[in-house]
Amino acid sequence: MSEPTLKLQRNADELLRDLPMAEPDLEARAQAIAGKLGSKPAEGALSDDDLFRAPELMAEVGEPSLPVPPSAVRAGQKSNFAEMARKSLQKGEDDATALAKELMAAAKSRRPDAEMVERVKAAGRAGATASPLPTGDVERTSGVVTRAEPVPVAAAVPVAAPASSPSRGVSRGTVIGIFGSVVGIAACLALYFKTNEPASSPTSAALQAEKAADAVVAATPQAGRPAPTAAAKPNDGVVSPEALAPATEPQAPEGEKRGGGKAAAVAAAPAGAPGGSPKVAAAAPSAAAPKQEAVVLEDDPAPAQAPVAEKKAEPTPEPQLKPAEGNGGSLPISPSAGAVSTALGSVRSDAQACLAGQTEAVSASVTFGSDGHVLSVRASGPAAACIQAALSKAHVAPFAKDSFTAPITIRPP
Amino acid sequence: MVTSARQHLPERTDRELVTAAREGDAEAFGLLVRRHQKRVYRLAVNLLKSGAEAEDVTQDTFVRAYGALDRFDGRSEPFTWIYRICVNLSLNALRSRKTRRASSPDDPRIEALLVDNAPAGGSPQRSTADKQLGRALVEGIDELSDTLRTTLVLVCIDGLSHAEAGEVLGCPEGTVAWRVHEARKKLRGMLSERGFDDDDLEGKE
Repeated sequence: MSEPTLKLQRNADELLRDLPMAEPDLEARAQAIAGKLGSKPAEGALSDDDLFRAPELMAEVGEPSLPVPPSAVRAGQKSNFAEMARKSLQKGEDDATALAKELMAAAKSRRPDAEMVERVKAAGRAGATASPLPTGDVERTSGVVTRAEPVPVAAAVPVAAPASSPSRGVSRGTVIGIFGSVVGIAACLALYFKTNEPASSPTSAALQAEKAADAVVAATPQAGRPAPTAAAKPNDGVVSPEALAPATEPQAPEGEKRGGGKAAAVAAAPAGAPGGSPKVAAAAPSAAAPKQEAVVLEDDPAPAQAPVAEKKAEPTPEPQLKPAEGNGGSLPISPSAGAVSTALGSVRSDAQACLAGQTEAVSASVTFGSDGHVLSVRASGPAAACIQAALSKAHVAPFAKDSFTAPITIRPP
Repeated sequence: MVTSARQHLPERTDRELVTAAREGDAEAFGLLVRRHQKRVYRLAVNLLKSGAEAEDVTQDTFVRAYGALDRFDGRSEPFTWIYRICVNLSLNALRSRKTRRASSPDDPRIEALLVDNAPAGGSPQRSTADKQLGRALVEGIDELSDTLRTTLVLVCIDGLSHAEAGEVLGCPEGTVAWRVHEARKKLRGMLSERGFDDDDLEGKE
């Protein structure tokens, strides 16, 4: 017998162990039992099954491992099981619907993402490759080139669409999927170009350095040599005007035809370099100078002009790099208000930082070129140069017009 | 015959007696009856609170066990198997009653308490106190639920281990232990309500 864990009062435990009990004549009872062995049980007595099974005792409240009688379990849980079954079915239907929606959303968003990533990677590799490309027409290998490549990506969209709907009829989901993939690719490209913009700054700086070096070379007696071709020049990933010149040659008339005016004049300047005299060649970089001056404000402080000039030197060859030429008339005439707002909104915080500590707002106007990049920024006030530098990072999608000017008011943060 | 059977008591185990009874040895089963009859009767009395009903249940227990010896699979001890039959028959008898019966003069426990059996050398005051405590204990046991009462009787009165009681009742040892603890706790509370605190009892001494 196990030791009691809870003592009863005084000698109650002993008394419980030897609880007095008047007993019948056990020997007589045993003989009576022996006389009845083998007799049949009385009618209505417990069956053998009930006799040998575990006694049905109601579980106490708080009892561990409750052996609740089956009858109580049946009575208490019947309705609960029915309710659980109903909820389970309902939940299954809801889950199936939700799952279908999730799969549809995933089909819309994920599949284009994978392709887009591949394309962006491919574009990045092509743009950053150090070896010249086979065709002279596509020898522009810096970030400047990749920045102007939405056309091949857009052209690849129809390729992506069949991949997302293999051998089935064009359903509504497929259309939605294609649309979603196009939007996703466009958004990702925009992000990619935006994040690559700082990388183009060193390229621009190197371009400027090369321009300066060319100017010095052109001033020497040996400057009469013909401009080297892009194939002959080792490509270090930096685009030089010399490398770009032959490539822009056949496009010059096109630029003239489309853009005319300023863009054509800019394109014509390097085009005359190979066949021209050293003086003309030397004048080629200087031809860009007036264009740079066009974006410099009169009241800008002198130190602030250098970075602006750097920025403005970059777009010089871009009219020849525009993808719009191969895209026919699909470009919008001018950027949409939303695109301009988004572009300016993305650089507004940088511009606002220029006004830190000031109280007055500054009105500025940003002029975008047809390739979507900022051609010029006009601003006033002591922070004009800073604002100009900040706003010049804005970028919109290419458009057909020569330029598009948007006003913007910069308020102090 | 009785004498010869008693001579064999220390020699033959319960299992051997059951095996012999299965083979038609009625005397072997008679030995088994005499070995466990008292305990089965006490168990039935504590569950039924009636001497007459307890005698009937005791007799019925052994008769039914003898008739179902073939169903004893040997996985448990024969006495736990017999106890289970007794518990089931007692519970069946309790449920067959139309009204729940309180302790009556038919209760052998009360009968024993009424008999003046104080030891010759014992204090009359102590004997009276024990009888009062005994009566309070019986009343307390009877107030317990069937579940707690059955477990308490098996463990604390008949002296079964928790494992043996678990075999009889078909529940884990932990459940038996919990029930015993709960029964003792309630019993202690009932004794306190009847004025049997430790201090009072010590003072009465």
